[in-house]
Amino acid sequence: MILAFNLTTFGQLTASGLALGCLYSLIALGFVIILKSSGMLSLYQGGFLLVGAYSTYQLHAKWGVTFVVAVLAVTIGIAALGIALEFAVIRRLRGSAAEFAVVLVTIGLLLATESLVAATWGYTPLNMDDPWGLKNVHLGSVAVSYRDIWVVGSTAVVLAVFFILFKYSRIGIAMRAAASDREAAYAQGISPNLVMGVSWAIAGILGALAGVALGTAAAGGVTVGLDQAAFAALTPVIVGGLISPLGAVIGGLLVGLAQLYASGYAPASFGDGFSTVMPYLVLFVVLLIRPHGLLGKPEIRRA
Amino acid sequence: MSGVTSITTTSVAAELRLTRNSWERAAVAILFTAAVALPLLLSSNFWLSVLVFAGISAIAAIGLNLLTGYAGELSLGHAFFVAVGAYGAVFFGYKHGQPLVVWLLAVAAVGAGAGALLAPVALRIRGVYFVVVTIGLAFFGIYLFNNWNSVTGGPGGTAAVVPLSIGSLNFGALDVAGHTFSRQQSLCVLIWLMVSIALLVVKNVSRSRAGRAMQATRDNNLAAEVVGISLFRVKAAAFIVSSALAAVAGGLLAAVIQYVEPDQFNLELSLQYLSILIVGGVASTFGPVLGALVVGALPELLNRFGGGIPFVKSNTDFGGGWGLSTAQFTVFSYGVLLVLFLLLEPRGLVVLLQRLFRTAAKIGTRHELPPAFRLLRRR
Amino acid sequence: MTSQPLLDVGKLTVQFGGIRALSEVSFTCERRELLAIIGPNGAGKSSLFNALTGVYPANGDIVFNGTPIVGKRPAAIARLGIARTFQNLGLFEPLSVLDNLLIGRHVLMRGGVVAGALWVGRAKREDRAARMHCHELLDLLDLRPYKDQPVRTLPYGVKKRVDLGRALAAEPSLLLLDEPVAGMNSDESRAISELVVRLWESMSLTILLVEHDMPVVMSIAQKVLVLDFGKVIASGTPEEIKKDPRVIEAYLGGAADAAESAVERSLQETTT
Repeated sequence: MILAFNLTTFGQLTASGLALGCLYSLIALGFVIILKSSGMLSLYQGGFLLVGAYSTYQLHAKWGVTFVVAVLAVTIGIAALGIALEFAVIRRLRGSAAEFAVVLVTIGLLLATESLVAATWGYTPLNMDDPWGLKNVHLGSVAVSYRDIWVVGSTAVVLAVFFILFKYSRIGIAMRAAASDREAAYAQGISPNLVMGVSWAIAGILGALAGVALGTAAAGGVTVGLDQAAFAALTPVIVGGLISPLGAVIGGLLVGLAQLYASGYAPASFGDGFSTVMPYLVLFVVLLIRPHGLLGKPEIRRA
Repeated sequence: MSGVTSITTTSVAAELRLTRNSWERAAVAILFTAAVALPLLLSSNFWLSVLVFAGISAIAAIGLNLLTGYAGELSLGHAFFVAVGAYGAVFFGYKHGQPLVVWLLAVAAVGAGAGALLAPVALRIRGVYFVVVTIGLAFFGIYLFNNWNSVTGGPGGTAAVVPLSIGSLNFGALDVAGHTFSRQQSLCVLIWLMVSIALLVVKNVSRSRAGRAMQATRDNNLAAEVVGISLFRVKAAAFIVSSALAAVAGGLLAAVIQYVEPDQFNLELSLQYLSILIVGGVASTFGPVLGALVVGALPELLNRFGGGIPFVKSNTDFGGGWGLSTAQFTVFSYGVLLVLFLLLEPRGLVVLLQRLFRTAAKIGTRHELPPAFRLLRRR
Repeated sequence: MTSQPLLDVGKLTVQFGGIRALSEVSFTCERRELLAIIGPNGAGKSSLFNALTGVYPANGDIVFNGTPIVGKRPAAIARLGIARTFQNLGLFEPLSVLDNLLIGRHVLMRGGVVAGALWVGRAKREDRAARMHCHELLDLLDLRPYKDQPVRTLPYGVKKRVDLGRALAAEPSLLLLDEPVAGMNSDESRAISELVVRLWESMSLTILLVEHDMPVVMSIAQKVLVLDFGKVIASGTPEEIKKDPRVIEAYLGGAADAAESAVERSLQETTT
């Protein structure tokens, strides 16, 4: 246990926690978008994470494409992947009360993706060779990495773009309508195909961007284990009551911070890997107090 | 009661019988004989290994079927309870040297206990929330087992050499009519005897008041409550029994490999069991067994004849071309099978076989898929 | 035999946020009575059933057979002897007709998971007795040809009878029927209403009936309760409420005399 409160440590943990939290927010938002537009939980975010990270590695570190260009190319590619998956697989699930079938199908897709990725790139952590490397900036006595700053900054930009699009563009309005009352929206002529395709494309992009960031040198490299972050990001989704994008974003930040504070301040007796399980502990505690998440509403059942 | 006709009495008697007709009785007899005799006739370690691990997965899947198939709660945390069972075997069988019957029962009890402890927490939470909690349970479990050194030996794992005898029957080296069978053969018999017991238990539950209550809860939990079913009691019961069965599977796993480490019991293991369930046939009696056999045989067949499938390398192939290792192909096939079956035949192999072979249709009840698993509107 | 009414409802109020589904509804139902509850759409009839079965939270008093039941969970209320049918059937779709009936009998059986797993003694005896009883119900409701078929595959009329059978399987003291003839033509309606009357008489049931179908209500109900906007606006025999101006107004919203007599005529025509 630390003997005195050390501002430097706290500052560094906070900075890293915010960065991690931003990535959780992105992933969680992807979950929520698909939940809101289809009512179903997709567990494939981890797949987007992996494909995004490894494709960027391949383009940039192995084939020498400039980092930014690689990321852009991957963004487009992932969007296409998301749309393709939705079209080929998920679309057949629409219009039924099959709450488990979708989750299970996305699990199947995730397993297939994991194994293909492992077969192609192996299990050793790979170096993304990102432009930030391990460079730091010093704010007072706190050393904050370039990478963390970029992560927070770009997340803010991505989220801003997302929220503006959601609020003002035609697609965004269509998606919000579908999210709030699916049947009414479709009855009004909003195309479910369009909404679902766009949802999956966006969720994919968010997941892939998070994957790229998680695969950077500062975070430990590109490994097959990256998709674990997607499961940890389920906590912010739950905290937001499954349907609140804002809740997911705020929840993501909180979980990231909690995880870093846990890694810094948990006593040694808690053992190894305590910080990695932190998101799940937060999940258990939140659901114990409020079984429908902090912002969710219990359904009223009618007979 | 007035008007009880003889038609009624005969009908009721028929309904109460375990097997529906003579075809079913024959099938059960053949299965049981095969379960016990086959391992003793086989000497190929390859096939014995397939049967051993398929049997263990079958027991775990039979338990999961009760919770997910019959009671309708999708759980991704089943691996946690398998781990509990494995470490239970280490504690009671290895560290305290209890005989087979004692440590197996103890393991089942510990599994049930873990289920009972977690049930109140997990079951206040419905549907999607429950799924996510079970994911958390799988991860939390690994953390717990990695750090609880005194019981589990930490990340390095622990040996698990456990007693295997019931009276004069030694399931480590069965002695029948003077002939001693190998360890693999003997374990195989033990495991498939346990599979039979597990099948019987779940079959009985599914056709009893408790089993019907579970299915009612799955299909319409509001109507189930109005009809007088206590949702919590039903789901807790399903959770406890399924955890006990998972623990038994875990104990047997420890007995076979004689070694237990936390990383074995990860989320992927839980997902494997789900694949087995879907491929075999959810909420059916034999589905989990069929699924375990098919899904379990696949990687082993690969191991043997790996050169045959494009892009899959057998264990001895270190060549330069792109390919999935057998382990990777195993996981890949779980995923692909899961997706294919859900899209094409979500009722699983049980029904697929019934469609292909009319005789098979006489065995086992006609299988209705719970709405939560059905994707297409009309089947 | 006590002279206490089987069901005593006092100032029952059901409120969701700003919406009052029921406002201070009070009425009693005597043993063996067949009480119909009518009213325009949205009057609160289904809410009343939901409150009685504990599905909706309620304020006020509901005393059933001497026991207050406000605040009890649906399963506890079912155990006291109240059973209901559902407007949208609420059957267990993948399960067979017989299984649906057997589930209806849940409260009268006791075996749990362990008894079920072991399947000796009590579990088996209980199951046999329950099946015998449900077989009788199958014959009574003409469902025997469908006994083992999954409910999902059955026509609407048959499903309605399964719903009824499931409620009857519990041998309830109070049976709540939620629009038993909804969606049926006049022949089917007559058959069902005759069946209901037969069951009412032979099983000594007390029945609360929610219905829109006036001919059915007028022909079989002993007493009628009229709801509108969550309040009781009239109660009495069918004859009495037929002529009650408040009832007529509720259905027509205060129409002119011509309309009034038109409605009177149609109400009179319904008594055959």
